[in-house]
Amino acid sequence: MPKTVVSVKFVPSNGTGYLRDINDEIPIAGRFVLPPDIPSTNIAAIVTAAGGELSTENVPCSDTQGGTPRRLVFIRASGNTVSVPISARNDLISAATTIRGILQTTGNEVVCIKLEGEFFPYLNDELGVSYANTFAASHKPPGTDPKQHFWSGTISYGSDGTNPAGGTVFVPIKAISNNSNAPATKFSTIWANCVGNFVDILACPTGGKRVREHRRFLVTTRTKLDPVSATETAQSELNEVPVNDYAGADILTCGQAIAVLNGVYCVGYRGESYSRFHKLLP
Amino acid sequence: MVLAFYSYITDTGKIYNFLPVFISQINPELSTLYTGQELLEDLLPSNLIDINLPCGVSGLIQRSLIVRFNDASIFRIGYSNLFSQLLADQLIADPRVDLFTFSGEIIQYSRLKKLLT
Repeated sequence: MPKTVVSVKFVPSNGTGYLRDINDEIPIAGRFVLPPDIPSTNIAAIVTAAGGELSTENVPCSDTQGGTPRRLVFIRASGNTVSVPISARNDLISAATTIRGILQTTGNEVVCIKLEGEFFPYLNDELGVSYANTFAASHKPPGTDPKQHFWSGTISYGSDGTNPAGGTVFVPIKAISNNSNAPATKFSTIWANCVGNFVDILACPTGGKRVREHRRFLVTTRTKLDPVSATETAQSELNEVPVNDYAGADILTCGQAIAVLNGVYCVGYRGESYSRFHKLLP
Repeated sequence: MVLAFYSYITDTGKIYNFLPVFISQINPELSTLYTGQELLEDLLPSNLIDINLPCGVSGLIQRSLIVRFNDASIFRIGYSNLFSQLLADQLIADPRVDLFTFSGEIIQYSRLKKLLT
């Protein structure tokens, strides 16, 4: 029996827009493969649970080529997977519960559900990046200091993967820095708002496995060891800035603050991923 | 390292920085003389940069020169500045260039609505 490829669209003007983590609603297309044992009569119910609508044509003005939407990945006992794009973060558990129920109607149990975060590599226009030939301080250690520093600890984090969504968990982070006891100088003004202070608490042990990948901005900057040097050759550096707040408006505010930092010329975003999402379902 | 435009100005006036330069040969006659880059380096000497982390922009297809060189090779070469009479004069005067076409930029609506707002 052939697999069925289901095309899904999210269209704001139809009330089925895709709500990005940065709090804007966009048109986007997606698709998923329905295993052969699932009757095609169930397709509409899965798509509705995902917040989208069935698509037989291209989405007008789609953002599809600009990124990929978040997905819930259902892994079944038979080994096959169904990866469904989901329109919003605030009701992931309800969507997962509904879709899991549909996928189990044939007796093939869903044994695991993973949340895969959205990825948009280029958000310059949305966030207001306007590079003005400035340079940031490099994250490399200054002078003759041979040791690369890291700013690491545990943050209090509003997670997509909690029940209800937005619950606080403690997440370990490790950020490259030119300072031995502070975040990288180039992010010093936004760090408190985007990431927050470290909390005096140990993150839960996970046996070395990262089950939760926090949301983050991917920030590319032009840097120099001395940002005002007229003779030093500039470098490009890519850094991740974790975002601790769950609320879309706060994520956007963080991104906008990053966008106007000296040296920043490219900003992307990757949403939270959580490999144990099935544990949250009733 | 990737060859990029230090700044690329769109037809709407918006500037994107560190956009990777698009160059491709579009006919099967393999050129032993040209790569397309050397022409660009003459036309835009101060606007090209080798960078390890360029910044690609989805929904924007950069304007380009389609150039037939004197060895019969034909290249499509991205161009960061607005087309002009001056550019045409430079290409006409260039002994390496037999023919050329200006091919316009495409900004898809998904990008346009973002850069306009």
